[in-house]
Amino acid sequence: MRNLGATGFFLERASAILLVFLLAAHFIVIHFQGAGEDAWSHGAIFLRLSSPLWLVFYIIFLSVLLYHGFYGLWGIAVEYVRRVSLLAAIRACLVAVSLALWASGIFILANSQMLLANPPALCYKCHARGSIPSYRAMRFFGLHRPWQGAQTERALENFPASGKDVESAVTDPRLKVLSFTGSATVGWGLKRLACDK
Amino acid sequence: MEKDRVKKFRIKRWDPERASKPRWEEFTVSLDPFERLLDGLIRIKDNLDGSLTFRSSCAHGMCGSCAMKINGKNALACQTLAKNTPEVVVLEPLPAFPVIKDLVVDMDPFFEKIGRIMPWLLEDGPPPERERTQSPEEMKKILDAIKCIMCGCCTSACPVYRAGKDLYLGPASLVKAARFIFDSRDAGWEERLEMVSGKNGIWRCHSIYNCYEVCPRSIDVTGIISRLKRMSVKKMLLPPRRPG
Amino acid sequence: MRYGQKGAQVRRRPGTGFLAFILHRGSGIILAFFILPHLYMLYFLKDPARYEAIRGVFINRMAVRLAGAGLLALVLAHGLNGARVMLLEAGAPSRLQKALFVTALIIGLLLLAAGARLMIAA
Repeated sequence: MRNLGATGFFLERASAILLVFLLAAHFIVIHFQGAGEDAWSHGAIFLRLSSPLWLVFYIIFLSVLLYHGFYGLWGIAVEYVRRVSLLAAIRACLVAVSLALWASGIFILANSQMLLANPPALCYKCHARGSIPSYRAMRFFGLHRPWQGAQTERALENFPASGKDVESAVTDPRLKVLSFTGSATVGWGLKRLACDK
Repeated sequence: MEKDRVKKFRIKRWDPERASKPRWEEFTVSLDPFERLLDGLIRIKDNLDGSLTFRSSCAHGMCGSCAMKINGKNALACQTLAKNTPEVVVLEPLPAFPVIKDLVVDMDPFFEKIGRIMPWLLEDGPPPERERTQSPEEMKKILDAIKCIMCGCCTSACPVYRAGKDLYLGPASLVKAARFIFDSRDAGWEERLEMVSGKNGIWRCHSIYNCYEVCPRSIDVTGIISRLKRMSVKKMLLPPRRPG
Repeated sequence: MRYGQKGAQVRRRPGTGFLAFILHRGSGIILAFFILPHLYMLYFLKDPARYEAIRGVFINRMAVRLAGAGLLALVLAHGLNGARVMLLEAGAPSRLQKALFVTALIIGLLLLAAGARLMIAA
C-alpha cells in the first residue's frame, strides 16, 4: 500500500474534527444538565436509545473515538519501539483491544435494543424531581408518564418524574415494584401511596 | 583582566575511551563583548588546556561545525556573542548524538539520514546544453530550505528524535528533502516524497517547534515540515499532479 | 531578526511547543484508556437495578464531580491543542505558535470554568 502514512495522518485529523462535535454533544447532553445526575439515569439513557438517531450517534461516536484513540497510541509506539517484531506485536494488540472495545460497545447497544423490544419485567423507577431538563424534554414529547401508554404494558423503565406524575405511577395497579432515591419525607409519602402493593 | 569581561566557561568534558562518565570543568577567560564564544574556546585551548576538544572551521556561521548546547540551547559557538551570554557560560555537546570527545559528537547517524533522502538533483531526460535555469518565483519556494548548513542543532533538539534514539529521520533531513521536492528543476519529487512519508518521516513531527527555536540560520523548520505534510496529503487525495 | 541572537539566554525551562506536546500526549493516553472503564460501566445497563446501584455510588459525591471536571479539562486540553496543531499544519505561520497556545489556553480555561460550574454545582 502506498502512502499509508498520509492516509493515517489525514484520517486522524478528520476523526479529530468529528470528535469535537460528537464530544460536545455528549458533554452537553450528559454532564451539563443540572447536577448531571438524571441525563445518565437508566431511564434517560433508554429513552435516548429508543430513538434511531441517537443509536446512530452512539455507533459513530464509538467508532470514531476508538479509531482516533488507538491510532494515536500506535503513533506513540512507532516513535519509541525499534524492534520490528515487538512493534508488530504491539500493533496486533492495539487492533485486538480496539476491536474488542468496539464489539463490546456494539454489544451494549444491541442489548439495549433487545431490552427495549422485549422487556423482562415491569419495573419503573421514579425520580421525584420536577425541574430537571430531561424531565421537561420528556414532558414536551408527552413521554413523562410512560406507564400510561398502551405500549408500556411490560416496559422496563427508570424515569424522572414530578410529584403528580409519581402519584399516578405509584398508585397505578400495573406497577409492581417501586424503588426510590431521595428524602425520607417523600419516601414515606410514596410508601403510603403505594401501600397496597 | 577587566572585571566585566570575565567569563566562566563551564564545560562538560568526556573522553568515552578513558572515563565512564562525563565531568564538568570550569575555565575563566576574558572576552570582549563583541567576541564570540568560539573565541573563548580557542583561547582556552591555546592558553589553559590543550586537551579541550571541539570542532570549528569557518568561524562565521557558514559551516555548522561548532554546533553545541550553549546554556541549555543548541546554537553555534561562532554566532553567540559574549555580550549576549550570562557570566557563566555552560557548554555541552549536542544532545542525541554519541559523544566522541568533549564537545565533539559523532555526526554519522545524522548524515546517514540526510543521505537517505537522496540529497542531489534527480533528472529525467538528457542534460541541457547550458545550466538549468529557475525563475525567481520558483527559487523563492526553496529559499528558506537552501539556507540549511546541516549543523545538527534542530535534529538534536527534537524530542521525537531523542525518544526514538534516531528512528525518526529528523528535521534537518526533512528540510533537505523539501529543498529538492520544492525545487522546480528536480524530477525526483515523487520518489522523495514517498521516502519522507514513511512511518519514520514527516508523520513523526508533532509541531513541537524546538527545531524552529534553535535554528542558527532562522529557517522555518517546522513550517517546512508542515508544508511537506500538506503536500503528501494532497498527493494522497488528488493524485497524481505535482502539488505546489 | 533572530539571526545572531541565538543561544543568548539561558533556557532551561521547556519551550511552549514541548509543553503543549506533553500535555497533548499525556491527555491523549489517559483519554484513550478511559474508554475501557466507561464501557464497563455501560455494560451494566442490561440490569437497571445494578446500573442504578453503581450510579448511586457516583451521584452526589464531590470527588466524583471534580473528577468529571478533570475529565473535561483533559478533553479540552487535547481538543484545543489539537486545533492549534492542525491550524499550524494547515499553514498558520510558525511565529504564531506561542500566541496560538496562549489563545487555546485562555479559551480552554473559560470553557472549563463554564463546564465545571455546571458539572460541580448541585
